[in-house]
Amino acid sequence: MMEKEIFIQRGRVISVHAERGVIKRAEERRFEGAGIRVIKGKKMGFYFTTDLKRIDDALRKAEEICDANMEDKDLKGLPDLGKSNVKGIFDSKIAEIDVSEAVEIAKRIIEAAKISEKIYSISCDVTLSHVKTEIYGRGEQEEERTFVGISSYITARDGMKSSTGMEMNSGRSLLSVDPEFVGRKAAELALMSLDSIQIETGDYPVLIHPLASPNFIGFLVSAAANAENIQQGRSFLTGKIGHLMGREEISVVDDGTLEGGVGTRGFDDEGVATRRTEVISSGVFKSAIHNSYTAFKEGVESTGNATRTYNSIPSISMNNVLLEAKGIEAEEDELLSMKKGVILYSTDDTPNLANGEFSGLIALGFLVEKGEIKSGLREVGFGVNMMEFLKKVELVGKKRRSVGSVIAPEIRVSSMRLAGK
Amino acid sequence: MDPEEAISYALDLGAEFVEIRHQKISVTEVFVVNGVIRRLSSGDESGYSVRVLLDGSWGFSSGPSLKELVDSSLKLAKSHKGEKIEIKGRSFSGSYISSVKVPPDQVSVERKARDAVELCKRGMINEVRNFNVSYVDGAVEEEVFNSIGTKVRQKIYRTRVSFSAYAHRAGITERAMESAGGTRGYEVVEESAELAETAAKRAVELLSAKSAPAGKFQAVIDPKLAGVFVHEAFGHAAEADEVLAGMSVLEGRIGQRVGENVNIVDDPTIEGLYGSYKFDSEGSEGRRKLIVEGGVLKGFMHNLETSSKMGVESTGNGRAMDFRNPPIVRMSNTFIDRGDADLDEILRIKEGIYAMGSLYGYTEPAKGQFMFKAEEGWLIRNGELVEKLREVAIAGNTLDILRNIELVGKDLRFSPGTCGKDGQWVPVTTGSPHIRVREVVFGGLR
Repeated sequence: MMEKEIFIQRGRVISVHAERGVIKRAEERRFEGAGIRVIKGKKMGFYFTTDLKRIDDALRKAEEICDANMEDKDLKGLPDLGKSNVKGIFDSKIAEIDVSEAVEIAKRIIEAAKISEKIYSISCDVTLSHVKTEIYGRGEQEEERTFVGISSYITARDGMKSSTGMEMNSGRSLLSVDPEFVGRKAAELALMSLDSIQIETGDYPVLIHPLASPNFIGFLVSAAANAENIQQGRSFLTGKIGHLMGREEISVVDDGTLEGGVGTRGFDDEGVATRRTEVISSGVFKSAIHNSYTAFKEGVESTGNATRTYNSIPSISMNNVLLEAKGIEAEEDELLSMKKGVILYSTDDTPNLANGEFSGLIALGFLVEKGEIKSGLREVGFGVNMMEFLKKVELVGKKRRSVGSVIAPEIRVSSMRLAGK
Repeated sequence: MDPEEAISYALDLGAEFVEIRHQKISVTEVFVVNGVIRRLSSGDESGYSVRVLLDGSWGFSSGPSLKELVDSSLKLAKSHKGEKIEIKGRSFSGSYISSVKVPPDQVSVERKARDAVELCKRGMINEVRNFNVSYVDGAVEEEVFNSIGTKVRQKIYRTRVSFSAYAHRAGITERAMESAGGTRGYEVVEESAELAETAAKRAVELLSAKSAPAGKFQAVIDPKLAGVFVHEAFGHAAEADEVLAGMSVLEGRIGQRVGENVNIVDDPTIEGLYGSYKFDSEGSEGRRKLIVEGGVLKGFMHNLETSSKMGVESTGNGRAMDFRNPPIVRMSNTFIDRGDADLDEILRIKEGIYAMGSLYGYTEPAKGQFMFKAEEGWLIRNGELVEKLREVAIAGNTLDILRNIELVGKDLRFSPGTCGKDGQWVPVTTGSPHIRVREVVFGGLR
């Protein structure tokens, strides 16, 4: 018996890029393509093409590749189709937008960033996309999704001093982004960092800003709890189901059904209905995120986390990741009330997947003394193990913020090793 | 509408410069994990891209239909205001096919699958818990037309095989990677059996390595790490678009001394290397450039836009990832050229660190700062390699390192790689002989 799956994506992406306060590029990409999977017994073949008129030809090639392949005993066929009822993933304004409107958004970011003579250089990006996904072969499914992402990267200078600031917003509707905020906030952060200091090496309480949360809890779900990485022994969470990873108030959830989420979709890229998966439940590592291959290998259900483009076989990634922490939520004042602590605003680093060690450099950070932000930080390294990270959480903010598909509060950890002078 | 008609059409509608590219790409990929094929896939993609310049503003679009793209690009260009520039440059014509011994499209998928599994078995030795083989071949046929009169066509084959080994012992995991590839054919696979074993053995050896000491040391840098260093820390700063954006520590330094005893080259014309090509994505012919000669900065790498702005000729470094992306300034095969020292002589130091391979790193081209994590290293005492080291980090200022180069070896070696910039990934080669540096800061973050 042969199973087949035809995955089609068609769409349009508009992007605008500005540098030094001037629009440098305006681009439009239209694409369509099909990826075809064929499974016969324990063998799979895959072929992709941009020529949708030749689907039959591509199907034949996929079958040839399937015949040429070797058996994989863990391959157990394609999953059942399903669809969750999700809201807020399509905005007709984005689907129909003219590029001149995208340019206007970029200009608004640039104008909002001009808050001081010390603002030296303003860069920003605006991306708008409209993609339709269709899956055929075992029944039919289709869904249209839109996305908007805006970001700014700003340099401030004062004499010999130079600093940078950044900010971003994303969502599935135009209303979910605020160009003025993204421009102004990045500029404010750059100005705040002009006077930056090195601190003494030592252990400090650290407040992790939502902007850095993709590198912490985003990584925890998308990479460490990724069933493929676990099954291959690449992740430090291999063999750790049932282990205590954090205090009992804390849960980390992947949820593909959240209204308006950047990672929300009715079905994943294999046509499996999305759902809510408790990855860490009351502090305990409970479930990996799966696609059908890794799920069937373990004899469990897919969690609806298959991700792909038409030219690739499905892999696994997060939908929307949320941190829940009932009972240890606090207002901004209380979060900042550290005698001497640090705000880790952003980092470009990610943890070591093999051992969970996260040693990196604070890209944007501030020193806090007696509850007040004192100055920026320069060349400060940090180190924490991701198995211990959620055990060290003292408080989290009441407010949540979405940064890409991670929806996180501010997170204060009792102590982190910081390397400075 | 054919490309030449499309150019006339766009010029009639006011465009000052028009570029049309068409690409046909075919790819085959095999990914093997612990002897099991996890991906066996093939595919083909094709499409056009159109780039126009109008009143100093660029419009770029890509998709399947040429006429629609010309209209769209003009509209995109009109949507904003740029600084007035005039694109000047030579026109090129001709066609080229990269020469390979065994064209990958003439090797059956069965054979590719079987060979990858065999290579994987070679790496599955004792403490290696996980061994991956990634094989990719591709053929890219590209045509470039522009309003300066360029009309070129080329077909380039690329084949690459990469190995990653994860060895485990008592809660410790160590990883080692090896890779071979070029603008070559299936012969790459036939030559890479030993490389699979090297990756596995190195991962196992690293299990008994010690942490590296921190501090300033005299250092020997192996060709892999020196190659990545010269690409990341120096090469990007020598890309003219970075210079024009005020993001390069090399701005205003042409003719100045930036290093000692060192020649740095970017050369897409070396046959068979991964970053080689005849014509860049703007249709300009690629050529060998001495970026640094005898320690003196000679020039930057350019595409048509940066060369027009700076009043020089394009160096043929305008490259695009595919038809969905516009050409920007990119490196090709970038390396420190060979010197005259033997490795024995280079290693003859009283106390120092020999840093090898490259895991990852960051650079700040604007400030000239860098940090790299090497895969491994050795502690050197009295010219002897006395202790194996793991995860050696080096950090510092790019120009300080170049000024502190004491010796450059004879043993120039190349490694294939993929370089990312502005979301576009292109095949490149990094290269260097062994070099010895008077003083390097080790340790970095820890």
